[in-house]
Amino acid sequence: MSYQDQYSLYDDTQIKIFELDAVSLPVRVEISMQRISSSNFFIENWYPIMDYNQKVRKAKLELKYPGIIGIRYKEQAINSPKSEVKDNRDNTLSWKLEDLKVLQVGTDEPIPVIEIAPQRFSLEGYTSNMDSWEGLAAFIAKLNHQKETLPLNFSEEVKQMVEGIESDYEKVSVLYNYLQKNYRYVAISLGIGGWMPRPATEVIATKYGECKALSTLMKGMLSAIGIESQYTLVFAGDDYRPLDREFPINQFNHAMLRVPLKEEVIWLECTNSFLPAGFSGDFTMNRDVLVVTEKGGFLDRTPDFREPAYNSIETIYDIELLGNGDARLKGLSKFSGFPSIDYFLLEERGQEKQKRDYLNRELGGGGVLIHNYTLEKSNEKEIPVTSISFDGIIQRFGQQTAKRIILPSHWKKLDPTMLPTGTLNWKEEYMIRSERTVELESNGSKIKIESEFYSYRLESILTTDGIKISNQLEVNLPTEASQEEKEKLVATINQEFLKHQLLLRKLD
Amino acid sequence: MKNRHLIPFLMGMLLFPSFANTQVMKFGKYSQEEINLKKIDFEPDANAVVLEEISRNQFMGTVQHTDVHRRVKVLKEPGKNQGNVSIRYYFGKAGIQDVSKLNAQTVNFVNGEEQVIKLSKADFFQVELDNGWREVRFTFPSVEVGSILEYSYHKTDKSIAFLESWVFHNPIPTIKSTYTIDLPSYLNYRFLAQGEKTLNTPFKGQRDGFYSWTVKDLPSIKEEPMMSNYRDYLEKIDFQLAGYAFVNTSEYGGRSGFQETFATWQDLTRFFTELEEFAQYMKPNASLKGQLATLNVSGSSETQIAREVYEYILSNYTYSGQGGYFPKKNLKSVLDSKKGSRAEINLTLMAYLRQNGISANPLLISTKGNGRSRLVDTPFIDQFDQMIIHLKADGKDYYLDATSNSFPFGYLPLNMHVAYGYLMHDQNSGLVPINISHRSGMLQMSQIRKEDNGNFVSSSTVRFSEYDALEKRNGINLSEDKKIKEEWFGSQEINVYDFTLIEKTEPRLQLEAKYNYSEGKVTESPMILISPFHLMRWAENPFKSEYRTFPVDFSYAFNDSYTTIIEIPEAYELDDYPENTEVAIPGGDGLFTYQLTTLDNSVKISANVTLKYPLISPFIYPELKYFMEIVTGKLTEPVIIKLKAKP
Repeated sequence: MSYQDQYSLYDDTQIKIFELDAVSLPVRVEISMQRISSSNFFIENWYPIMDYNQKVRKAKLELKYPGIIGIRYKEQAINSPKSEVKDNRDNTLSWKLEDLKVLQVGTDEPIPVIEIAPQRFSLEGYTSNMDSWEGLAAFIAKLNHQKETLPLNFSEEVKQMVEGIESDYEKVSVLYNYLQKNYRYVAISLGIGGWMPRPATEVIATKYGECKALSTLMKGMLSAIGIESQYTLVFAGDDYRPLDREFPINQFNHAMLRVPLKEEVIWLECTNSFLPAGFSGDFTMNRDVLVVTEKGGFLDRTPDFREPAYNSIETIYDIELLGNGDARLKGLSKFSGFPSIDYFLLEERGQEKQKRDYLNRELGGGGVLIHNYTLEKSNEKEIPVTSISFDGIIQRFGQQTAKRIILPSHWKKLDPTMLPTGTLNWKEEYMIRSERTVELESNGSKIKIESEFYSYRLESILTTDGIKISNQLEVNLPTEASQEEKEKLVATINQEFLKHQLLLRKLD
Repeated sequence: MKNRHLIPFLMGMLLFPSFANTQVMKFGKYSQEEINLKKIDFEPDANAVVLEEISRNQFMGTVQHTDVHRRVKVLKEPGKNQGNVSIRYYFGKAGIQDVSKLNAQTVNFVNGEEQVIKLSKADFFQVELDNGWREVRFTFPSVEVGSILEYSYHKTDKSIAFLESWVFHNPIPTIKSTYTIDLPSYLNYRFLAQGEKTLNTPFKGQRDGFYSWTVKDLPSIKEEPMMSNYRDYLEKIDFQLAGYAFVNTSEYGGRSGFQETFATWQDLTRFFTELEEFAQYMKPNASLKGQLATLNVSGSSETQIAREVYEYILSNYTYSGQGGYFPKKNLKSVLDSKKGSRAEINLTLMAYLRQNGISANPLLISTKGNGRSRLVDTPFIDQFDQMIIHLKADGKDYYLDATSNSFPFGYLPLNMHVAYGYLMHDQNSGLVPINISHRSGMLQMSQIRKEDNGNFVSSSTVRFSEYDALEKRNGINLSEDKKIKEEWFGSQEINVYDFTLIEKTEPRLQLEAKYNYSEGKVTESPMILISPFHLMRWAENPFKSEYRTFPVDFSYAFNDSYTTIIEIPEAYELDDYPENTEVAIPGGDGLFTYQLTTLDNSVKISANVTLKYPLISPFIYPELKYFMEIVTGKLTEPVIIKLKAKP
């Protein structure tokens, strides 16, 4: 049947499936398969253990290849020597494994694999040598050759779009915006089309393209206004495994654009339709990528976006406690960088009900019902910034006892998804007034907690306007922290928030 | 002769002038209204809209021919995703359904001029999916805000006992959707309309056998959290063959007539149970009976026997993951392979039960989410989507689905908790009420005291009953109590110790946990806040939206009871506590009481949450949300004790 990933409209890859149906167990199944490929560009890695909870008694790999073409391989957790036989034309490598250990789901053990890559290779007449990253990049450069050429009149249009703009970043931004608004991401992979971009002329005619084609068109547009950029291969998404810089292999699933400007290098994600030029969240951040130049290429690394500007939230709440336990709410929030992504998306795609549901859920702790809001997007160059001013009510704010009102010192909980980079700078300020007469039971307090991965400062004072609470949380978890460590830290911090409730004594 | 046929046809035209006046959508011809449309009144923030769609159906012999024509307009940027289209159909092995004559074009209007970009043959891709399903996929070029995307195709269907439903609703709003069907005299269908607009549409055409439904101005339909029912609200139409004319030329002189297919539920039952795949389960032959008889049961009562058989099937048969109400493999094959679809496994269970003298029958249901929670009492098979087994043991009704180990005897997955089902019986088949009786809920009793080391510890017993026991087990093995602890207490799990679990299945399923919960060490502070409860049904209010369109489905009714006694340490006295409360949602289906009693040197807090009926109307959603705000808030409110003033 057809193999279809979740991103493509169509992919011409076919898969064969064998389903074991209606048999009594145990059963012995033998499968033999021969596959002929007219290219040595796609050589699959060899996994002697194909699945978890599976006992492998014997596994054998034999690699026979013409000596002059060559092959390269890298072993991981293969505890068995290989043997090598050469004759005048062919070399044969073989591995024999026996009685392998059963892998349990969720194991930390390295999974046995022999990664295999060609040396000299060709695909539909395009040849290169994968011995070096440069060689692989040179191959991509051949596939991309002249694909970015724009029709003359279009080239003129592009120039007009940036007329009068001084800053290079602004120019890039204007063209990127044009791309976002006018071209759809649609992937159709036919044959070599999985690796060769559709030419820019075709993308302009149809107004859609895959990551390769959209990057190529953008490259062409930038080139038209005199800004050089490089087509770049990356493994995007969460499943990214670090590249072995010493073992060049085609371990990429996505294309983007590297744009070196005078003061900085920015990376354009040409399939994104709503974020500012140079920022695409965690999709391709902090990883090795293969930059393709005219004739070759090199490895580079994408930014990790850990600076505070990419990870900060500031909120001011103005809360009036009502006699029935509810509260009136006014507020102003500013989200910058990652915390702003969802608001950008919501602005672009969301419908009114979705927006309101989101704001009710995200702007505070529980019980929020937003009545009015204004949402403003503004980016500070590549950093997306959203400012929202809002008013509404809070159903059941804080806790009530016969004599007291108990308020949280940090109303909204921290969530692991708020730490995509491991860092966060979160400031809150509350001004709390009450319909009934209350007094702050402890006469204002200052708390400061410093810990390995976070700090939390809290201050509450009684002013003539009401009770003012300010807090600031700074998280700095190392990039390599696991999800489990992240969750643990988040739990600790939420626990800390709960410890410092404010007690108001009812006086009337 | 021919002319005679024409006369009633023409008369029909005269009698129904409105039909003649209705503008017919023609491929590539756009009205000024369509061209100018920028936003639609009934859904102003829609990203795209179906301007019009038509499905025209007719028969040639016993093949259904459908022409579908659809016209969409992009209103906002995100609406451009309408530019990607997939048409799914069931090809089977030899073209049960097939799609052809694809035609598609993008139309943009630039300075009042129409720019048409047609798709060519190479732009349509055919994708082979699993199990005989296929898709034609294509994408429209040059999609802009304001583009009209138009396509049409021809579909054939050889399986005509049940026609494919036509849903007038779309994920985007729909201005006009039409379904027409031209039934030949040799076929008679029963149809089932759903939705207010569809039901109120005059559908009889100008001649016999021609029917047409047009439904207008339908908003988009979006899912909401805690709803199982959104498909119930779709405007749609279904057809089921009710009879056919036949000519039998194999007999001398021929024989012809009209065969009614399913006039009654019993007819429908007969039709199904006599099909080859089905028949063996209902009436196993001697050799199959022999095979069934190899299972030895030791139970002395019917219920015990039924339970044994059910457990035997659960532990010996593998569910293939295929739902449905119809078996594809016969009993012999399932007995041999010990693997099957839901219908196959449940029918095998039924065969074993019957073999052991227990009255068991197939029960077809429309599970939650299938869109037919209000069944109609006509023999219409398309209403149902799954088959379970009904049995009577010792005078009691039981409902069984033997596809998952997570459900002990007598318990059904929550999406199967529906009001009615179609019971297949030797006689008097028909709709029967399904009464799944249970008393689910949580009973919690805790004692909080200060230990000698200064720790405040809560010693608790929590008992979850029936569906709450299942929910709290969540398919986890009892021996993995660490995992269960994590599920229940989340990050607070580190405070829980001496955790023990017991499960009881008799007389009803209960999961009981005993544990100590450490509040942590409290220094000799003048004031201590103590939370009486640690394990709540909801950590926070699940409802965040201001309003909602569809009912809330809590899945099952329950009663939760919380009691905590706090022993006040000697040096302390009670200072402050939450106030007593009693609230209910309008109609009284949800109730919450909170009560605090002071005793000598202790204080007792009792709270009770009752949900009498799991489905709550969207009309009282705001009250439900506020009710939940009170429940979740109140259960976290602390009792405050303070150091006694020194005399």
